[in-house]
Amino acid sequence: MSFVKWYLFMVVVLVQGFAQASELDDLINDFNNKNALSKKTIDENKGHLVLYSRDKLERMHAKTLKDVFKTTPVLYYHENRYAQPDPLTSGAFEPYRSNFIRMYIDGVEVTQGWMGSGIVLYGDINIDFVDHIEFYYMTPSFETTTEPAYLTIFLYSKEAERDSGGAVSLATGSRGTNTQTVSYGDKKEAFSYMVNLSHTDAKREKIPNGTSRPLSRDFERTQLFSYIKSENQTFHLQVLKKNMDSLAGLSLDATPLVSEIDYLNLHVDYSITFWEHWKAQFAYEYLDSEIRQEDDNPFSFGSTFLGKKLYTKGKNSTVNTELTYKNTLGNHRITTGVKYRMKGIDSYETIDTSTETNIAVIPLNFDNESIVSLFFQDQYRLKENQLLTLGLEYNNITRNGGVSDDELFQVRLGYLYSGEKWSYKTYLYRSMFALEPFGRYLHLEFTNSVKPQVTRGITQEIAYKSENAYTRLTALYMQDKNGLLENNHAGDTKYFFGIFNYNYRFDVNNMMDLQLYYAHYKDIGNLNKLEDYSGYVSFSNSYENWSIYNGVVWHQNSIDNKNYFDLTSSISWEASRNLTFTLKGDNLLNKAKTTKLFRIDPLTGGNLKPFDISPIDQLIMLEVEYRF
Amino acid sequence: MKKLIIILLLLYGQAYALEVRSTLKLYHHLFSSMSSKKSVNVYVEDVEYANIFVKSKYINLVSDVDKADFILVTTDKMLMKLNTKHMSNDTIIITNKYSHMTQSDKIVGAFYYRKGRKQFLFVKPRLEEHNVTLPSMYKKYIVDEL
Repeated sequence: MSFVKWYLFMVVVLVQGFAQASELDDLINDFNNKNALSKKTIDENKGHLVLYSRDKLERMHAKTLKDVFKTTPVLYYHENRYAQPDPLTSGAFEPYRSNFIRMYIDGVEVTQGWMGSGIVLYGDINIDFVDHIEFYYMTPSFETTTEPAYLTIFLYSKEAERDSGGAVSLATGSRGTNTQTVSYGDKKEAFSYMVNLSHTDAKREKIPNGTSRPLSRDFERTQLFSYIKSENQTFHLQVLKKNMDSLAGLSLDATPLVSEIDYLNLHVDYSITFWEHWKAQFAYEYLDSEIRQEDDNPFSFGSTFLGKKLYTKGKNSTVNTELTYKNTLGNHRITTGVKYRMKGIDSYETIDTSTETNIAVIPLNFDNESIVSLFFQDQYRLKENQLLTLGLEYNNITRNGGVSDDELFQVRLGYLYSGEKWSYKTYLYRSMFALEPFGRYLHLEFTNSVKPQVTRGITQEIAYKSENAYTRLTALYMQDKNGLLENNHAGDTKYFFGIFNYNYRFDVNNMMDLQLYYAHYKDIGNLNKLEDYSGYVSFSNSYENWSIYNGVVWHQNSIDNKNYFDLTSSISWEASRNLTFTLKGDNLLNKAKTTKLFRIDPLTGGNLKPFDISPIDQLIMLEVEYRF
Repeated sequence: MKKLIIILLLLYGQAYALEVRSTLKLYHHLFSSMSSKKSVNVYVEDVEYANIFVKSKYINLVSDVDKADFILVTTDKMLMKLNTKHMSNDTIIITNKYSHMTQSDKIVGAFYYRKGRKQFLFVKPRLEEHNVTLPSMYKKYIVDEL
């Protein structure tokens, strides 16, 4: 606590010490706020929004999605035993769990198809190409989603008009971690384009495991983001190559001799708006993965032993097509459409490289899942400042290889009020979730019928806006039936969340954000009850050519009542209009929240003491950015 | 009523470009800081800016470059056109793109995007050439050279 008091004292001193902004600064700030790109993309009807505006991202010096994700309420950034971004991981041996979180870039979902959510690969990407980020909680608008989700993350890229020209940035830091980014964009009369290329060689903290080979999660990532846009057409090309050390991987006792995964992902999409009200969109995704695992004890798959050296190679692809129609008829704003998604596994094989034998544990005749979605939404204007919204969606999921099909039906009803100072919104919904194909693929018992999860919920949000402050309280209550995530209790999982936000602007250069979060779960995992608390407070200050950011994320839960603090600080100096130096530190106290990594003794089958691993490394980086 | 319309636009999630009130306030401040006239003549080809400026009682839109007190350059094409034309020192040219400042000495200042945020930039010798003295609050946006 003494640290928190000292921290608050220092920030107050800093704020008071800075000069007051001029009338002109206020005018410019007002212009920038009212013309922010986020004003174009925010759709209040998508759900409960947590916005990271361009201004906020710049002030935070957020460089990766992880920098942002670690400050969000409800679902925090976590990594699983393969060191993949997986906020819902339990740390046990399980398929990827965060498929209820979906991610979009410029409104197009980035999905890894057979693997599930795009978060698995994009959850910690370099966000140099991003203008702003929107997190929407609970069931989102059906207009945007093909598959149901608890949380949708929308990344919106920089506009060439606002970020024309080029930029180069070089960063180096702890343990030899380094990042290079190059971007260029321009707006021509008929079209605009942007290309952003980055390379990261991350040397992360090692995890001692009692052997001479500590667990490693280093990675090397090369990432290309590009688009070309005209008034009614957009084309994106994204390529991501990530070669990573995959922490414990398949090793039961977390003592692998080799644990590596290489990914190559390609994403292309094209969309066109036509006849004023129509939009067609096509997206293709390809993922190539190679997994190398070696241990001193044989790996096991259920009761089957697989050998000590495994090599797995898989290729999968996803095709998405959408046709939507939007129109305003009197007080009704109608949106309706049809979507088709095909997830195919092109090849998948696992070889025991010590004996060069192909291990046949996979039902190879199951290699395709198709989803057809039909949706209808109506936003009915009750009064000038009140909306009533209704959304219906039907999903038909078909699978080959004798695997059972699913039919899902989603309903969403909402009321929104938006006054000059007060705003209120509430949603009632019923959502259904089906088990992802990769989960079925790896567990033969799941090739038979697995009942879809049914989630019912009610959410409410009330907000008050004054000249310098924004206050908001959000409350959510949900209940799962036939939960797909592990639940060892007989009862259905029930949960309540409350989120309080308070943002205060001292003046144009000095701001504070406060967020408090409380959650109460009943019957989740192995627990009858779980209470989760967190808080986030940040101060951003600028004075002449200097800008400073300090933010602390606090976590505690009823499992061990231990307090975790993640302090992020940065200082940035604009040496000239083109040249900026930034020094940034993450997890400076080395007390950030940890995730359990469970271990099993391969000889006895008994449980070993789990490792506590923080997904947030202690990291100090120096960055130089040159714009031209 | 205007606020309500803006709120409803947000609720409907419709895209719009420049927000009228904040844009007008800012350009009013800029023009009145550079000119002592009760109203100013502005030449702009961009439809979006024209639609905003037309709502102002202080700004008169003109279709003849020679009658303008201020010219707002928004495209490379417009810049090329002005570069080939002889301009009076009484006409002040500003732009919304930084690269235009480097391409033409005729441009006195810019209100341009940098890292996604708009900011001003003026070149001192070019201001002096047009006998313009900006208020002190603009000081931090004035550079001696590019």
